[in-house]
Amino acid sequence: MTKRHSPRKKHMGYYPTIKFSNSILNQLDELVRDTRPIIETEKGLLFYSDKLPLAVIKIKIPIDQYLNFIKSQGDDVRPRLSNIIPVNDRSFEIVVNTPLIITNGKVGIGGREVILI
Amino acid sequence: MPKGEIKGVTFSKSLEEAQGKVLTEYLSLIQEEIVREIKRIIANNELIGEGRTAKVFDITVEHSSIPICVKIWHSHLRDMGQLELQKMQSSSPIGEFELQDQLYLAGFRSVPEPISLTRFEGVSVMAMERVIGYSLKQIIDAGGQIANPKWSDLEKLVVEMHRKYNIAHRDLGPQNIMLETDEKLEPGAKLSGRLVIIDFGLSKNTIGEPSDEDYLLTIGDSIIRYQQDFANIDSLKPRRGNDQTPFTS
Repeated sequence: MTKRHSPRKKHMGYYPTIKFSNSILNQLDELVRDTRPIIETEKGLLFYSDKLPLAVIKIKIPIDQYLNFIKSQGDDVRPRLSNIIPVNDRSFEIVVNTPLIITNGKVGIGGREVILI
Repeated sequence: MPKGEIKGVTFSKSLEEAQGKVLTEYLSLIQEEIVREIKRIIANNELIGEGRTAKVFDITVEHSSIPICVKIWHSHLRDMGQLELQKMQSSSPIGEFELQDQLYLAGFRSVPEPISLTRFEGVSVMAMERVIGYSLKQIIDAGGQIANPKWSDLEKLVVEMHRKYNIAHRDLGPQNIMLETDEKLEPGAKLSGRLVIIDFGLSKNTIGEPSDEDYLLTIGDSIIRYQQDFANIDSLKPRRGNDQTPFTS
């Protein structure tokens, strides 16, 4: 009998692992459930609260398309990929793993304007 | 298709279904950025604590909703054997992170809120709420005092942690108890604030461990049962001749 190997497992063993606390994830779930998105585009909805250290995105497109979109942006507006983390089993798909500043519908990270959705 | 965690990563289900190439490239780029970010933090950010197993750096930025710090475990720990590691730290970084998360989630708020744990190439990094204030050791060393809360409030906190949440801290020295306060520490200062317990690297869940060796003390031929956390905080009890406590009452 031939054993099937997942191509992902072969690659994943050496990559970083990022785990968020349930305490934070629960609060982010509540944010999505109880508030309106601060920004909405054809790619997704950004939820943000100045009471929480992280923000979240509920995407409207397949995740590989979204990751390609983030990766392919120019360096001037691309967020650090280490700040854009996919998660599972939540009411959102992406955790934005850094504090944001929202001004007039624009998103700033670390003093620089970025495009998240 | 498997759901949930794979080696600690919480990937989205849809990511699992993404093409391998997209995923591989994305993870590879994340790894490079995380390595750069950790180096940048170590080189540029304020070191706010250092122990046998880890260093803690402040990473709060101007617009953070809460002050944040990161605990970066020493990379040489990955080369240690399990027994050697246990002498320094009974919990693995993931164990410590999960215990702190469990405690916070259960409602014990006298602990910094954990945010995330990142691991790569044997290095572990925990991001968590930074407590603004001073450790009891800093207060003692600076000649300050704590007017409020009282020592009995610390005792109540530790009783609650043991009895309600079944957690033994096991390293409850004055360096691991903080007074959260925005008041200035100076000789003779009488500070007020909130007690917060930090560093759960030696902590244990006590459920099902009634005869744990940590609670037994051998003196001569006698074995005395005691609880280490209570013995530790007893040394901070204000009493005549005890100059190693910041508590005034």
